[in-house]
Amino acid sequence: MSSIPHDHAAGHGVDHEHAHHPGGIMRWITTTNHKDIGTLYLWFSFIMFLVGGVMALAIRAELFQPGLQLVEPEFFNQLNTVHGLVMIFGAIMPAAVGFANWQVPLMIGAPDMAFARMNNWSFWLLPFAAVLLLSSFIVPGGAASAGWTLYPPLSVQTGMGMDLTIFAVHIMGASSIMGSINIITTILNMRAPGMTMMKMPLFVWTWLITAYLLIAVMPVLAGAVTMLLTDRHFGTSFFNAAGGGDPVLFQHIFWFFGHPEVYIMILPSFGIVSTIIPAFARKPLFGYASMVYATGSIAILSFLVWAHHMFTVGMPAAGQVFFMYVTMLIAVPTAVKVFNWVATMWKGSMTFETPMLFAIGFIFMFTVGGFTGLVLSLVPVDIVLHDTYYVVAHFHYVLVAGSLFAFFGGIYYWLPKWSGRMYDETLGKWHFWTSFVFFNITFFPMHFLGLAGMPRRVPDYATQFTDWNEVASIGAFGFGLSQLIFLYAVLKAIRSGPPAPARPWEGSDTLDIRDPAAGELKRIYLKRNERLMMEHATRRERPVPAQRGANMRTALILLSIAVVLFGGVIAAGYSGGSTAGIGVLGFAIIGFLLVAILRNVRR
Amino acid sequence: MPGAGIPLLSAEPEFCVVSRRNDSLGSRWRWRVYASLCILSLGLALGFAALGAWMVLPYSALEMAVLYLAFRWIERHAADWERISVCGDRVIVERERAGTRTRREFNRYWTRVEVEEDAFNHSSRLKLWFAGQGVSFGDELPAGKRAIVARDLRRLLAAR
Ligand code: HEM
Ligand SMILES: [Cu+2]
Repeated sequence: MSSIPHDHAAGHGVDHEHAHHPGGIMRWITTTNHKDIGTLYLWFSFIMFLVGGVMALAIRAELFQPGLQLVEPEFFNQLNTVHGLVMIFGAIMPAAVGFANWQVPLMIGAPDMAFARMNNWSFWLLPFAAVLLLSSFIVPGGAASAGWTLYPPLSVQTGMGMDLTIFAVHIMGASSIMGSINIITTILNMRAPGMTMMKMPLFVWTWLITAYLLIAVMPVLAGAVTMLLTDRHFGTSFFNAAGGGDPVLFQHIFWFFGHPEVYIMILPSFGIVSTIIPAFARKPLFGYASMVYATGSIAILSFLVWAHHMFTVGMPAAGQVFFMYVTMLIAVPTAVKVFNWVATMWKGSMTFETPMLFAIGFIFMFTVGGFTGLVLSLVPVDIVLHDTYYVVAHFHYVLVAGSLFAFFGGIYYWLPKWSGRMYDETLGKWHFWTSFVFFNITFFPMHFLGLAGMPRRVPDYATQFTDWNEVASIGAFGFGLSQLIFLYAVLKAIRSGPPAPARPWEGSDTLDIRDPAAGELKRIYLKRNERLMMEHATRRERPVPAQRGANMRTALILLSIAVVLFGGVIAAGYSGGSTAGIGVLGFAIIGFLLVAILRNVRR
Repeated sequence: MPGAGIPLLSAEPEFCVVSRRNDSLGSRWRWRVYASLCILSLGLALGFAALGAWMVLPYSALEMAVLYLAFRWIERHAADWERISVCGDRVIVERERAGTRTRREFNRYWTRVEVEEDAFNHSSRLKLWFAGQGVSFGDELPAGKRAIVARDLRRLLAAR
């Protein structure tokens, strides 16, 4: 989020120095620098967060009152589905990768990511996927409407929006895989001398384990949606009951991916919170080793609990009991983490700047979400609460007040380091408190609604649910508006924030912030910002030769891929989602991915 | 051990910096990690195939192939190094990449040091220029260290 001011600052009066670099948009398209790419990921995810947020507000507006007021029920289902997909694959996961790009190399003392060019590609796949996903709203039949879990039979029957969704999921999966290969190779192979595994900051540990999980489960998701696709268009019957397939098999496969996925979304946040808490408690993290082992055991257990999402499909009692107990077991390492954070704060000399507020908010509300998870893991209870608003409350507590709050905290924490400028503490506090209050106004009543029996994913409801729905809708709009404070705070910081000291938080103790060399570098950049040029004379003597050729080539390749891709979308659209059209689109995407992979393996 | 596997210099240098990636995992563990991922990913895929959902398998195989290429690349470049030394009136840049060694010598007093700095990118690159030919050095050094090396080199090369 940070590089913008440098560009502006350097853009005036020192033009000659820029002559050899592609300017403007080309710079971003061709960059292989981990910090740039981190910035791209974070902005992308913020934009997707706003897009998904607008959908959520449409949903909440419709649900303000019983009856159908604003949107068609079909459209409501599409909004619901795409909201979930956008938030999970477009906002939370890319944000986590953005943090990894910025922080992992700095925290382990590596010069950059292991595969810098692949890094560029794994980001630039995402906007294509997002366009594909969102363009499904305008094709015949509209967007996917089967819920983000894409259960058959609905997902086998609906229109071609589902095909676009499937392709978008493929591309986002490819992006995640490339990202995690990069992260795992960087962490394992590129640590600075002395940075042993058990000295790595916890954020790096959590991302190592996350990358491991991603590599393990992304093919499962890709396989699952491919089988949906072939069931839809190519006559197979994996899940299609009409042809002898088994829809429940899809649920098993999906959740085998899906439950590790929820930990993929929370582990990096654990890492961020574990960085922030010690810095503002001015004490080292309590129980570092136990944190590492807890993260590892959460990851292992996450492969053994998937069927807690399926207690109501009619599984043998022994299966229910097994999945119930293993799910409850996950609460143990999770609690270890919560206790460690609390113990870190215990008798610390704490201050409550914005990052710390978000971290503490995280601990409170993630714990609420963990407890409701525990409630849902009890088979007899879940049979009542499954597919009610109670589940909606649960996962928004862990994902919004969990993952997202940790990301907000991380942004405020690292922004001074990233941009060289300080954010406005008052704005940050406003952002936290409005988010905190409105979040709870929105989602706490959903526990009541769920317990009273209101089903999820419905555009209309019985009148006795009206009051709490109104409260939730008001809260949702408040929460949405609060995020504009965040946008403003960040923009203000990177445009005109006061210069941040080399070590913005006195309690911080990770390499990225402590390292004197990094500090020195930061000062150099700060001077640049103030338009004091380093090594001015040398550079004027001999301009560095252009690298235009390579950049133009990349641009051309990107352009032609874009043309082919959108050609495919249009072909598929014109053919009304027929097998041939889908085939063309499929090939376009496969070609796209192949080029992406080939460009990166040769080096 | 930053000096391991690098030949000794023939003369005592005035200035010498080695830049190399720290191969922090080592070959054996690298392939163990790869094997564990293979077992996990392919094992899962085979399990699903046994249940009839065989389409996980090609993705898992493809992914493991890409991961293999990545690991092999790392393996081949694990021993890479670069060394810049100033000996008498020479500046010598040597490097080994994936087993191939190259060596360039420059006249000390005619060589120019440049830091190609990219404010936009927060990144910098150190380059030596001699008779219109450029050679970069130290991409594997931490950026702060690279700035220090550039400063020291410039001081040395300018002294006549
Ligand atoms: C203490 C740990 C946790 C436990 C015991 C737990 C348990 C559960 C259970 C039993 C369900 C199924 C409810 C139902 O559909 O009837 C569920 C749903 C869900 N959980 Fe958790 N959970 C935990 C933590 C998390 C975390 C950390 C996340 C994400 C960051 C998460 C995200 C979700 C999501 C997204 C769903 C709903 C999926 C859907 O049906 O759309 N959970 N959880
Ligand atoms: Cu789960």
